[in-house]
Amino acid sequence: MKKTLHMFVALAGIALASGLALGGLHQVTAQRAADNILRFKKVPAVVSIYQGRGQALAADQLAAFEDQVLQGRRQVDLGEESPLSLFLIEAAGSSPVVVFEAFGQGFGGDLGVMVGFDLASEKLAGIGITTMSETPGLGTRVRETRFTKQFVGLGQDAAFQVKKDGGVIDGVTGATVSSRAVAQAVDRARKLFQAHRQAIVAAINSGQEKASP
Amino acid sequence: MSASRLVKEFSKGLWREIPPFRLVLGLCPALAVTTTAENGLGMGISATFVLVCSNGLISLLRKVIPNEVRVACYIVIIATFVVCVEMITKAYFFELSESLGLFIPLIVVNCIILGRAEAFAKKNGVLLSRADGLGMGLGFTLALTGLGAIREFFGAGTLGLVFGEQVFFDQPFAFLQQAPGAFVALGLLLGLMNLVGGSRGR
Repeated sequence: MKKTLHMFVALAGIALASGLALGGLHQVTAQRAADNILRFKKVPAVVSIYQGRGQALAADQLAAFEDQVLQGRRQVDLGEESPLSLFLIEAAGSSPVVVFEAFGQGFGGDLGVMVGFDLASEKLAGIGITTMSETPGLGTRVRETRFTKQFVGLGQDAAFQVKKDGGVIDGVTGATVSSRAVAQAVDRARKLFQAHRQAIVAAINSGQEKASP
Repeated sequence: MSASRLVKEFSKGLWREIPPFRLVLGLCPALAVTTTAENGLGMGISATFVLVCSNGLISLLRKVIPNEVRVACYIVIIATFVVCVEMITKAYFFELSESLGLFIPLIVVNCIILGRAEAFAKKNGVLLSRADGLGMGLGFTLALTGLGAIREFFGAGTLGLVFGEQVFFDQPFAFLQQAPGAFVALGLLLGLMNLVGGSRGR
């Protein structure tokens, strides 16, 4: 009995100390880690949608454009856990595109996808993968343009599912779960866009007024 | 505890029992991440940090940890330090955390770390265990950086850690960048080490 208690106390004590230490460290590093993900994952995904629309971007303009995307983002509160970040892409000669992130359930956890909607036609302007923990070499291949470009130009009523499930998307061979996760994320984004179209457009317009006094 | 013992425990990890070669432990990260010298160095430093911390703490707690649940306790301690490394690299060394990816969480099950806890830290004092961990870790770092440098230089024609963007060959031996190439490079290095260090018999 005494031995059992000793085992229990030792293991529980170590686990408790570990939890406290990690909790403390998380407090210190979480903000910086989130900033890094925004800067090095989310913004490049938005930029990739912009480039996917046939907009050329010279290497020396890339950093400046990324800054512009980063500074131009808006927050909109849709009653979810945290406010949604909206990114706006504007290019001469084409209608503005609103981009925001949605998540699907991948093989190794949440899979983040930036989804862009053309504000004039309401068609999908493109998608870009942000964060994922899929199997390297298999699931990570959903990042490839060959897969993501299939979403470009799809309408609001398209079936955002892989062909195996009766949809219109060709899944990546050997990565059905990851392909499904991307389709699921896009589908969620579409539903969010349809449900909150007014609020999203209003948030973007209000921001623009503020930006040009 | 004499200073010579300390030096001995430290230095054995650098050549006589250098981890991926002589102990043939920790092969998974050694082969998977060493496509460049920089990744090898990053993985080595992360593993060294975890090894020194976990060896020290396990040695400190060796009288408290009951024998029956010792492996569970070791894993909790090791996992804690690994998550620390993961959080720190994500916050301060984002590029490194991207290129090492899955392999940082996998340090938890790196056999070298549990191996040193079981074989050394649970029987020896804190200072000796730390010296052992540091030696083994540095040996692991040295080996991974070397392996990474060879695979990067001959396989991709660059050596980013030292020469930056400079490209040495236009048509490198790309086989070395792939997994089978890693095995071949490791085998050749192991053979070379045995040639230089004499036979493995003691």
